[in-house]
Amino acid sequence: MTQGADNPHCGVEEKSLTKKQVLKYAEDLAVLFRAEKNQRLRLEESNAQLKKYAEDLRLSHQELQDFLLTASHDLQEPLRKAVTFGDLLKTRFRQQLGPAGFEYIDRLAGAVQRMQRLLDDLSAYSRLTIETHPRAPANMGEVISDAVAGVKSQAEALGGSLKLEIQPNPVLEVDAPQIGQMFKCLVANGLKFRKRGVPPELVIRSRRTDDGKWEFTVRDNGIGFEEKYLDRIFKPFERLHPSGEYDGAGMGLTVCRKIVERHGGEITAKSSAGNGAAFFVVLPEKQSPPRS
Amino acid sequence: MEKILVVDNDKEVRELVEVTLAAPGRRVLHAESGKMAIEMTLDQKPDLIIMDIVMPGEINGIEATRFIKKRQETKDVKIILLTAKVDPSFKKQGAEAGADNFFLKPFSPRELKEKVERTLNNFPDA
Repeated sequence: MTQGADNPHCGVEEKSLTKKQVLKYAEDLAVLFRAEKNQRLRLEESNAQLKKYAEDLRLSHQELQDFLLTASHDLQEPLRKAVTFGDLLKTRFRQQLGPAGFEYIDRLAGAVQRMQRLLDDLSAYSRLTIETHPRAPANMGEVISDAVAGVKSQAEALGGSLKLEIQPNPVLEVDAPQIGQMFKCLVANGLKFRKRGVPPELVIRSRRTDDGKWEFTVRDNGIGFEEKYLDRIFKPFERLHPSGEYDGAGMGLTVCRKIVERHGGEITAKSSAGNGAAFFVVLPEKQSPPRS
Repeated sequence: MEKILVVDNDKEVRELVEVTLAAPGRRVLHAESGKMAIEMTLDQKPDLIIMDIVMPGEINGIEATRFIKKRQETKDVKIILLTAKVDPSFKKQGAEAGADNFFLKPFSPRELKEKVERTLNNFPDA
């Protein structure tokens, strides 16, 4: 059967391609292929370059970590000597020193101790990237409740409470010991900066975010901080309070931030002076390829 | 392996389309009539069909589209209909038959590539 009346387009006579059309098409095709090839080459080139940058960065990062670890270790040594000689001075030259001399030595020892703490925290921080555990799916309710058990009893001993409202209870791919350490640090902070004469109330909550991640909120009823200091609190050795008033070297939140960032997450905080603080930790459900 | 079926009675058109769309992991099949297009679709289950509307023979592009889109086992095959005529009734009939996209002849290789990628990725038109 040839084109019949039941074929609605039999009347349209379609000419084959003209030679000119074919040539034009072939020319366009050559241009297109050349452009695609160039694009591919450029992409390969920039990929190679990126890989090299990444490797350089990894190496220099590694060097920095090694340096930090060695430095914080080696710097402890002279400090131990300073303490030893201070003790020697106190025992052997008791008479000559007198009460003023004694006090000076104690203050010297206090300063040395603070220095030792700073170095301890610094090496703990640099170890974070070295002492890692494999990321594995973990029940966050369990990870958190195990990690904060100690702080919970402390809070209760002070007449306060630590409540876990991990509902829904997500299973996330994490380095569980580090994530636990991070939550412990956050609640310990909440307890440390409690209001005098007010029982500490700490709450940890979880919720799913609109973009499919998980947000954990750690809220306390402590002294809080002014939000203008927000960018300072996560920096190393930053302390909003004069040393002596609160214990610590100012590394806690820095470590927390590093742990969260190593999980591809984010940590922020909200507070106002005198009204407690809330820390928000957002973590993805699954880890993208591991970072150094 | 991704399969694209090109249906046109003009061998030259089919070959130009094949050269333009050739890529690793992709096979370009040929059919020269609506009838052959249906047979090859049932047999080969292509991912995409690029088909001329106007072809000699008892089954034109629109009818072949209607047939393919009606059958359970081939209804998900994407179809781009080609036409040399700016005729709104073609587009209407093609859409009613279930075509996923339309393309006007003559076209440049770049346009063809873009159209194919968009249709395969479910972005019918820019």
